[in-house]
Amino acid sequence: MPMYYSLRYFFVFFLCLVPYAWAGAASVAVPGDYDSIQQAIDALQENPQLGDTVLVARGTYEENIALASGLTVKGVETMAVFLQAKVSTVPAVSGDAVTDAVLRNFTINSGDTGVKLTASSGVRVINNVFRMGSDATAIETDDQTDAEIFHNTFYDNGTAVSRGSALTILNYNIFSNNDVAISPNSLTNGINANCLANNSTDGPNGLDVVTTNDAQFAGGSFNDFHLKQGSPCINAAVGTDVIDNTTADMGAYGGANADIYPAQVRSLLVTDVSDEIGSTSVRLSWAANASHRVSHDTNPGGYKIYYDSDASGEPYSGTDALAGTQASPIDVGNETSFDLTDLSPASLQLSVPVITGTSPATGVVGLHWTAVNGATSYRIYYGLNDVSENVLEVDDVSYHVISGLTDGVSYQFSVSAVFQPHYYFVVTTYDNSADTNESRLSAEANIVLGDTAESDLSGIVTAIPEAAVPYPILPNEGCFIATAAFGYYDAPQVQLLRDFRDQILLSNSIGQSLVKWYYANSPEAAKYINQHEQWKPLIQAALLPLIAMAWLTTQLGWPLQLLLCVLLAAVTWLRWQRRGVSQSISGEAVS
Amino acid sequence: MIFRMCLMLVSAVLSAGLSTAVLAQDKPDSPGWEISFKIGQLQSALEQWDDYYPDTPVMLSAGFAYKLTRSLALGLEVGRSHVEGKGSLPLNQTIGGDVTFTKIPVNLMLTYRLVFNEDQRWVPYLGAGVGKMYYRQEISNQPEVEGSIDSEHYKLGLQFLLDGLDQSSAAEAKSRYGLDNTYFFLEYMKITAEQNDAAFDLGGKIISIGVLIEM
Repeated sequence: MPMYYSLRYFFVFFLCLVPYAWAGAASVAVPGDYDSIQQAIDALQENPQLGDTVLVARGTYEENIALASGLTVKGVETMAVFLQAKVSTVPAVSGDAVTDAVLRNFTINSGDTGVKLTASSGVRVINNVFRMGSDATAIETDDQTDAEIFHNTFYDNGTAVSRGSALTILNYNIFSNNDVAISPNSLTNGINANCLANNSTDGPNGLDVVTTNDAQFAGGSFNDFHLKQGSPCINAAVGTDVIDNTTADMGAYGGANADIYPAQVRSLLVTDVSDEIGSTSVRLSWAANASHRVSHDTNPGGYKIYYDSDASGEPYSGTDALAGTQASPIDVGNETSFDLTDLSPASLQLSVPVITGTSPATGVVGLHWTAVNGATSYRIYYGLNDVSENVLEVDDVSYHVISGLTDGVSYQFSVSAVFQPHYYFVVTTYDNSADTNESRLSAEANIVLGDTAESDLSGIVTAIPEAAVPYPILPNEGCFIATAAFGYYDAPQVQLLRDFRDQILLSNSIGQSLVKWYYANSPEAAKYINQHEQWKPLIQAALLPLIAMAWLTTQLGWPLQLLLCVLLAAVTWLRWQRRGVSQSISGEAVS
Repeated sequence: MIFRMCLMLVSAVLSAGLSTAVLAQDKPDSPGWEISFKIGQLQSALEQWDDYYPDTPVMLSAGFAYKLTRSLALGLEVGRSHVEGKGSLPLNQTIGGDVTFTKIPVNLMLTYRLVFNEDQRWVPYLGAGVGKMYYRQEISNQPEVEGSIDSEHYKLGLQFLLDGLDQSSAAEAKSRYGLDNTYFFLEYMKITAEQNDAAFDLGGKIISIGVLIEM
């Protein structure tokens, strides 16, 4: 066969292989490609050409997932991907008769059982954190399952691992603060190089165990199970850490499959220290990352400050710190406080907004205006005789409803645009590895710096708050009897009863039924009253207690209502006392 | 009220008279009941309606009737229309405020159908009746207004027998569910809902299409 044909066949053969190679390496994302982890697993089972890995983004997932043969389910960052059992009595993760499945880089923290494996083989549960609570079991396997439980951290579980046989191998895990670390005692094989720390019952130790009172987590209270410098679990496993290429640590952040991200920076604070420093300056401070890869005595990692003065959120591309010589991000080394000095807050010449319309309603006026480029907020000036009587600051909006106004009165309104220079900050941490692995961004902090600029006032517009009159004007058949008795719909007494209906009666089901009954039955009575004028004074008098009650309940604040109740109770009690005394006196007189 | 009484009387006399002509054709297994569903547009009788409500409201209705004879039915029909619009602001001399206007006509009606045999493809009909027009105006941040007004109505329409289009399905519907005939219909209805001392009429003209099923 000529060389030409050989090459051609080889090329065709190679092309045929490409899709398989590509398929083997591919993954699907949750969320993104699929809404839930289980949907993604099911999809990969039905269409293996999509890939063999479900990559789960940061977030909390309430699911009961079932592993599938040959598939890897992987969280992006162990301490930021939480898996919680949706049905607590069903394991958060189940594997029934599956082979070669992998679960890695999750924090599983809710449910009666974290992972349950039955009749499965080659399943790997690696680099996860299990924090299920004292009534739960983190991992349970049956006697037919062979599985590798490697590099996990078990913290605060009822039972950390319950094995059905020694085919389930426990290596390089940290068991800390569990009621029972490993169960049962009778199975001692297949347990190698684990760290046992402060468990009520350790169970079988196995080989090369590290026993300690404190595993020294960087921040167990906020699910940071990286290890502090000095932890006996550091460099105590077998193999190499993917993070820093040293001997593997025990626990979820050791070995070849750990996630590489340091914990997110917490408790970022920003304060204005311009007066102290003498130029426009801020001081940032944050909680130290206690991981040995960040806060090491001799080889620490560090922190980076990202800032911007244009807008919240990424990208943080500020350039003006230290008179324009410290562009974002700033590597501040292993400090947990840093001053950004000589900042140059922007100053803007704002154009004047134009009021484009008003929307009066009862007790309120809605104001529309044109948005001004660069404005961070607006000030609404309004009053009866002069707009300077009241000032209201609102966010960066172009419509606002001014409330608390009096119906029927003409108000004047004007608007100005305001610019307040804001600075936005986030901080990351990076570890001491050659790659200086960097955490995700911290929560954002912001501060107002520099002088506030305000535009001239807009032209003045007037509007009168008033109740809208619907079309057509229809009779309202509410409070029929009172309307008939007092003669007209807008009588204050009738309005009080209407308020009582709306605020008190219609707020509960009994009141609603009462109103319904009243509307069904009162029109006839109202008709009778209208036809017999002589009854009206009597009906008015009869309604007085009800009107008084309506006034008390709708017009008085609760302190006065309480005071009246107390007074009423006191008077009743006194009367009852006197009555008792007078009865006993008359009884004695009779006897 | 006199008008309503007259309407009822005329329709009753008309229907009774005409129905006697075909009464003999009634069979023991003739349908006893009918139900109907229809959708239509309510053209309000209010002169300034368009100034306040940009949309022509859709009226959805459902009804049932008892067949006094093969041609004459006495029934009840309930509808609902719902439209969003604005109110007026007299002091500001403009339109404003959000108003939601709901009308629920409840009609008692007599309907006479010119049906002469069970296979008649086209069936003209007419009817009249009285009822109540319930209304509710919900105004943003204000108490709502609600009540009802007496109403009367008449209607004309044309029904088209659908059974002939698919006889096997029609036969199955009868054997399984007891449905005798199914009609598609086009209807014109005029409702008047005026208050004696008020210069408004909450009624209007409704042109509807719908389905009527005899059982």
